[in-house]
Amino acid sequence: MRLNATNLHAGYGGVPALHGISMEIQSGEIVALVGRNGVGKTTLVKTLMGLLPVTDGELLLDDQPITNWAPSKRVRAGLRATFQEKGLFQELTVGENLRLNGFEPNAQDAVLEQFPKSLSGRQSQRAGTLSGGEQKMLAAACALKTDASLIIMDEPTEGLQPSNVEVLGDHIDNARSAGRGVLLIEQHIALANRLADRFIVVEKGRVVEASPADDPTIQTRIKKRLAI
Amino acid sequence: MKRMTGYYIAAIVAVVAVNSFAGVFRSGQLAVFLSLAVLAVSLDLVWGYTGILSLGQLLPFGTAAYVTARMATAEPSWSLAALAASVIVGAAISGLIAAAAFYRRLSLVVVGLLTLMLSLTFEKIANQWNSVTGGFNGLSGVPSINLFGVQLSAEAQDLAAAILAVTIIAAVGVVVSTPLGAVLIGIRDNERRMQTLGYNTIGLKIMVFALGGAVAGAAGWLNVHQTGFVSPGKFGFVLATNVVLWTLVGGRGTIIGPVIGTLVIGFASATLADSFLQYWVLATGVLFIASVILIPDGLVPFFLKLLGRPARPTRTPNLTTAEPVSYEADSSDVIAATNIDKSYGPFRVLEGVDLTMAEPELRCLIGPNGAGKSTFLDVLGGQQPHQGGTISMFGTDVTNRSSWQFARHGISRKFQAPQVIGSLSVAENIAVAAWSTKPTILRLLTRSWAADVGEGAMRIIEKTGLDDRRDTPAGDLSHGEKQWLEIAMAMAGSCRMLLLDEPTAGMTVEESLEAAELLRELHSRYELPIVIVEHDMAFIRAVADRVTVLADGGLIADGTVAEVEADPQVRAVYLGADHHAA
Amino acid sequence: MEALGIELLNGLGLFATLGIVALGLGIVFGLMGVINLAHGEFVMIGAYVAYLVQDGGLNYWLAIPAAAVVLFFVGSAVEMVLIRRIYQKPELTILATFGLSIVLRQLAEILFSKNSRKVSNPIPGATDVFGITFPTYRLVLIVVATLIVVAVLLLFTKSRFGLTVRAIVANRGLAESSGIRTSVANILAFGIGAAAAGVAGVLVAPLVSVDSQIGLSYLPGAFLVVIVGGFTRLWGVVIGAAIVAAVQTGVTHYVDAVWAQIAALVLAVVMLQLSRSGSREVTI
Repeated sequence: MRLNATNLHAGYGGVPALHGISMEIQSGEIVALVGRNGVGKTTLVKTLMGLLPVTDGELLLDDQPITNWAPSKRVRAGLRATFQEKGLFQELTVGENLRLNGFEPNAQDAVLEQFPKSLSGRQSQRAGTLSGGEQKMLAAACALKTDASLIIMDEPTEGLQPSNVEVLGDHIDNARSAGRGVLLIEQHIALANRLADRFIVVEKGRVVEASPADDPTIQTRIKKRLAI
Repeated sequence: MKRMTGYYIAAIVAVVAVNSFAGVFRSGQLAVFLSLAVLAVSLDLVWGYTGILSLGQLLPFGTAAYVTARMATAEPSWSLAALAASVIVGAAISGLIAAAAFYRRLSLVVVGLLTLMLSLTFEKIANQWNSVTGGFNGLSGVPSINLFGVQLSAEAQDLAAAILAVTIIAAVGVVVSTPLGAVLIGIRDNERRMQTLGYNTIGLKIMVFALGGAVAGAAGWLNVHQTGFVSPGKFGFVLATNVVLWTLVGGRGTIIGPVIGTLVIGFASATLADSFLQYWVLATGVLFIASVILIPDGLVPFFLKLLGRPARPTRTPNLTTAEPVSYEADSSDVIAATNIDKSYGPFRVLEGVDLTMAEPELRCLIGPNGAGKSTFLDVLGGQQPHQGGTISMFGTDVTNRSSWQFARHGISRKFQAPQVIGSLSVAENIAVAAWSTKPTILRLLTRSWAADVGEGAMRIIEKTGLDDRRDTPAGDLSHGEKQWLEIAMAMAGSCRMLLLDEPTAGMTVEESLEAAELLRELHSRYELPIVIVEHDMAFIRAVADRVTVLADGGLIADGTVAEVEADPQVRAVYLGADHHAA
Repeated sequence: MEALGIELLNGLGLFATLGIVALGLGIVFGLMGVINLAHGEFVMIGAYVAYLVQDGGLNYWLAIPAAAVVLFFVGSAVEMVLIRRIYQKPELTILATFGLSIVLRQLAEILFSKNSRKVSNPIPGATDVFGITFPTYRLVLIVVATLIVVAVLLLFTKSRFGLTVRAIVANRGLAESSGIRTSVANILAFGIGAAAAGVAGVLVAPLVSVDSQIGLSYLPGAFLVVIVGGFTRLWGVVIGAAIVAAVQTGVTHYVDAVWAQIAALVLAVVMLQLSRSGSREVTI
């Protein structure tokens, strides 16, 4: 499956945040999208998922225009996302959150045995009472363990302890091995360096760098772009 | 003003003509509908000018009607005293409703619901409270208006009531064309912006509701004198429905629209209802739904739009440069915020943050996502309360004052998404901001349509080309122009300090650098302290005297741009803890 | 003692009626933030369905499923044709449903004339409850209405559909991003809310004269319940109905009906001042 964005424009309440982003991602690859905060990364996730209307440009899923599709229709077509904040239904339990993502109670143990292991047997706990790290891990599991073909992850490691970053990285890697595509949006680039097949750097709502990970100059260019 | 005088004279001539030539029946009908038009106008004042739909405009109207019926049937008739009582009772009732609704910031839907229930309950009580209201049959035999002992004849009553109604409507028209009207439009369009300019918006909204109640009370007085009786059926749910329909169809926020709506629908229903009552009522329901779906703004704005004219004619206020205000020099710090704590529920956003600025400087606040920068700026500007710590600005303790009190102390705020008043022109936006230095109702009602504007604001509109677009509605400006208009508004009144949240958001690289230049100029020319939350390092290097870094709700570094850039902790926060390993 | 017992049963009757009338209102507001001013007219249609069923020689109790089905479709259609276009503007939903209520009332008046219709009592007679004689049908109404309210609440709290709805209430965007079709859920919720109102109409029909205006008499009480119950939690409907019924019955008994009206209204205003829920802006 392939998602193409061409010349995307979008914004909040009349403030443009994306000024014509073009990019693509397909099954079987991990693309790292990096950029400082405020450059429009989260806006891009919302726009790709259909939570924010596109003011100009086009989105294609396997050459089919999906620009006006509702988010739920995109999800049913195989696109998924995890969000930077509030990735879980705070008022609902761990089990109910899993259920809403298609894991019936009898399948939940199988998910939690893989990760986040600390939540095994805690299905009846309210998601809002989990620690920030546990919430992030559970939200990531909810997306990575579905059969979605393309998964967009908005800063999944923010606030995670280093060991959990490792675990999460392994599962993202596994998703690629299983033939899924992952768009990894990160402000911190350690995990991106470990996993990415390609890099995209965004600044001021535009793509300013795009190279494969084996390009020898990409690291210096990214550092220059991200340095304060 | 000239045009309005013309309309007023034309309306009076029309009323006199109807009374002279159309016969007693039509004259009486006209007076009744005009008294109802006054009610619709009172709703327009509330709904059209504060944006809050009240389904309870009947309460002041109906209560005044009962009060009048009681007082006017006394011997001798207390007709004129009843007018005073009606106005006072109407204002009090509406003011109370508004206070209950606005102090808790109830949502639009809940206010609509509450006022509807009040109307329904009013009808029930009027029905059941026999001893006072006459119960189901109501009170009848109310005589015509009695002026100092002179009972008006039926013909004189028709003419007097009609002229009085037209006069009240014209008076409301005058009120909304004063600076107060522009301020009310500002509150309707963007309440937060108006608070941050120094307007006590809750107080103003309550006053407008009370004013609407007073007008509705006068309408009740007129109506009872004209029709001679009052009953729950007449002041019940059906009228509550109809007055909303008239205002909706005519076009709220226009004053004349609801009058036209009342007269047209009123005469139509009087003519058609006799023969086709059931279908006529059905038609009003369909009309309701159709106007909501097809012309939600109403007929008058719809036709004006067809003619290519704005719903509200812009009158460009004369802007002059104000004398700079000089403040007594003292040695106190510009900003002294100490130990600020702020939580949203159990989630702590700021923990013991200190910020001191001794001399006016241009300070940037940076930090990663979720560090609490915008929240901190909100606390410094008074937009959000905080739990612990103290804030002192220019030597005055302003801890936990409200947003408009900060603004009156000279703390001006610009939000990330530009907050301008879309239906007002550029010049009116600036004027509304400048008028905020003396924001009492009396002053707003009586001052001229001109403003003394802070020199900084004038400089901004000259340098950014906004000067040539004074007549343009602010809603039609480009994003960048709105950003500058908002900064100009922040500086138009008694501004002593600017707080800016991501002023370059949505700007191109070139525009950001131009913004940096203009901000530096304002800072050095007026010794204006400026605090900016930003991400864009190129912009920060171009603009900042000093940089303060926040991370995880606490302060981690403070210094010049170069010092902060060299700080290993700051680098770690920005690039990720294990950046070196990569 | 006996007088108090009768008041208690009267209060229970009011509680059950208020609960079932307010239920649909609460569902629609809780999920979509829409105040449906035509809800009373859905009750009225239910009452006319009861009349038509009986008039057609069928068993009264058949009217309950019939009204539920008819109003489910009416409610869904209203959502799809009208409400959907104006979700974003709360005041317009108030006005549009206001207009709809006039249309429905007037259509009923045109179809059935102004004369009220009588639905005959399916269970005439009286029963002794702890020595108090009380009309049997009203006892049955208390039981049936309570059962229906509990059943609907269980549907919303225990079933898969209920979980979906709670997810939407908690975070509409996240629900969409989990693959939930929120637009379909809106239609269902409006349909179920209307169906509940229709059943309420069937149940009250034997106790009143059925005419086009009866919806209006139920609306204020139902709104009070939703306000007092706190808007967002569905179980709040039960609590709200209990409080409003207690206050209204109590004040009517000890003072009079006018003061009962005023007391209930004051209660609503006080609750709005105390709770934060009233200031909840509609989030779509």
